[in-house]
Amino acid sequence: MALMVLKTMEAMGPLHGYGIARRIEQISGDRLSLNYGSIYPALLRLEQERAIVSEWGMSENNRKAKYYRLTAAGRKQLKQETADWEEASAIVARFLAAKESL
Amino acid sequence: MKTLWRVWARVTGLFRKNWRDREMAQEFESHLQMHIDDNIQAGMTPVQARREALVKFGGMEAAKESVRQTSRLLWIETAARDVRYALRGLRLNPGFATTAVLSLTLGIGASVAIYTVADNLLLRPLPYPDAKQLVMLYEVNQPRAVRHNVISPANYFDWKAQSSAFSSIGGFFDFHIILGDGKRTEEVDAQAVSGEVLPALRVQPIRGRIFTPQEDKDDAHVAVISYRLWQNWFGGDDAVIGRQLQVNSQPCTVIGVLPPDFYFNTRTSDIWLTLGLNPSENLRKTQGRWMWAVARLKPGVSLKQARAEMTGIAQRLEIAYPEFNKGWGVNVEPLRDSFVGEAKTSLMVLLGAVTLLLCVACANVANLLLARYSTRRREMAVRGALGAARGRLIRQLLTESVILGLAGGISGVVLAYFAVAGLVELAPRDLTRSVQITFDLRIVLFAFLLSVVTSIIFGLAPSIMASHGDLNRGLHEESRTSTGSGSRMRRWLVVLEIACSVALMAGAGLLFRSLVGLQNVDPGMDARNVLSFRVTLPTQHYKEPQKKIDFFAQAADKLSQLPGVRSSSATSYVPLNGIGAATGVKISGQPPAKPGEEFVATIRTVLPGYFRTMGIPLKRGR
Repeated sequence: MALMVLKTMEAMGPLHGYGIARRIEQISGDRLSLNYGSIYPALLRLEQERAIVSEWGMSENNRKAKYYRLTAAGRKQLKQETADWEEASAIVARFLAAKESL
Repeated sequence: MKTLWRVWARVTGLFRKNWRDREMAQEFESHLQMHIDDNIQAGMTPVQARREALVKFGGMEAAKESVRQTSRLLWIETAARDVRYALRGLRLNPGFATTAVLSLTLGIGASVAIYTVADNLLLRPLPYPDAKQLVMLYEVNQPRAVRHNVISPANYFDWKAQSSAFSSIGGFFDFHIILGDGKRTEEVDAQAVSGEVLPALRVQPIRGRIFTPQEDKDDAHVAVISYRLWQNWFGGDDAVIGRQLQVNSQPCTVIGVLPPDFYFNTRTSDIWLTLGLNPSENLRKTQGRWMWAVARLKPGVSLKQARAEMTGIAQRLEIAYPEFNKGWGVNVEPLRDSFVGEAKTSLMVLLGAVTLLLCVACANVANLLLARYSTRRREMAVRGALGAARGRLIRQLLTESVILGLAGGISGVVLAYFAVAGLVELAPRDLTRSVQITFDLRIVLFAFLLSVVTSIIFGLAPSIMASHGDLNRGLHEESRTSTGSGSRMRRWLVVLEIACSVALMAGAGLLFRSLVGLQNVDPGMDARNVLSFRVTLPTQHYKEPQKKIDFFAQAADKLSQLPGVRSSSATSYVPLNGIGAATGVKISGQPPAKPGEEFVATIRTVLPGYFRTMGIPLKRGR
């Protein structure tokens, strides 16, 4: 979840919680259906880790919304977590391939 | 780093809970609005749009709770809640709370007080570098079983010449002098030390220097003074070095000042003078036994080796000087044991007693808690049924006992503080004279640990018991009756309590009996309404014995003329004060006593009127 949130923010720039949730759903091609509410604990944790910062602003259709922005530390964290994830999935992929070739 | 930031955010979050909650509600609200806007744009009716947005969001309350969970330091908040809850419970039940805290105060207070004394006397290192190497050397009178006798200077020089276990041996004794600086004259406590003593203690003067061996040999008129005297008489003036003082009417030059916390053997010494013994004199002819000796073991030499060597030397001296040394040996004792003396055993007994007392207090409180919890089983059952984890319940009950323990601990420390002052008053005078007893942070820390540990000891079992068992029964039963295991435990606690109490009572009873016995011993005199004080005459002016006698006779005479004084007299040593002069006595007309059964008489030089003043009845004669 944290990885998806960070990646979305890297792609879209500052965004509010609703936008992030929407975006994640879209990118997954609506295959991933998540409760929008569950995005907020993840956002809070990232904020506590100083990977993102938040401030109130106005949305496109003039509603007050809290916008989240990636920090330098957040970018670093994103890079790290992307690398970790790629390594992990590569290992699983190799593991699965090995099983098939038995 | 990440974790640290998170913890920090949570700690600060503790103080902005309401603000955070409002902000979260606003954020969720704006989220929903945006979603609804989008849905309406997509062609839904407002009602439909709102419903869809809410469904998509998932449980609103669950999300809020999840955010709250993330934003708080869970354990601090629950602990704070437990504390609040426990305090409320205790306030509702003041009788229970007071009883429990009082028992703990007594238990912890007594333990801390005795521990303080024990810590100061037995555990803390003496204030000398490598104090473990320091020993006292005593002469031992085997037939009379005196193990801590003053020593003879002649033997002292022979020990020095023949022993190899010590890096140095020094002689000293405590006395009083009349000190004058031209303006004021006072009696102060002094210590005569040989040149080896101060170096053996490795004390560094803060001003000036200490004696050289040559100055000791020459009995040069030089003095080292205490920090206290330096401050009180000279206002800490550096020019004190080289000043002339009058010691017993003889001029004496100050050559050094010792550090503020330095003391040796007695804490009241204000001035150190040379011992000035001449080893070439035949001291066995001219002097008896009158001084003390302290020595430092060579590195790597054990107490046992030193003892073996000194025993050998003493045996040789016994053969070489049978007249003087028959029946005399040597006792080598660690310096701390000499300072603490017999108090060690009594302290151990007392430590045992207060530990028992603490056990009784713990058992008592545990029992009270059990009784209390058995009436709270229903509450526990309800909370369990509502989903409280068992660990959570135990934690809450433990919080309560820790609060009790800490309350007991705090009042216990206060009690101990006064108790220590009282103990120091009661303690034998020579004990507190040679060792300092202080109350410090270490003790407070000890008390804190003690109260936490005791509270866990007395709290754990009852809480486990209380949170234990069948919810269903707890809910239904009008739980006034305690469960089987609970009452079994209480029985054991009562047994423990009674056992400890009986042991304590027996011990206290025995001590009391010997105390009463001591008080009933007839000292052979009537000390009521007798006052005493000490006078030291400057030897310079009162050289001839007759002059001294005249002084005291006159003084006693004048004193008796004071209104309200019935009679007055003087003696060399006040009875039962621990120190005195003694010698062997032979009664003419009787066969010489067998070795080991010689009579010893204490000598007290007295003036006329002494027996009347002290209320000592004469058995026969005049």
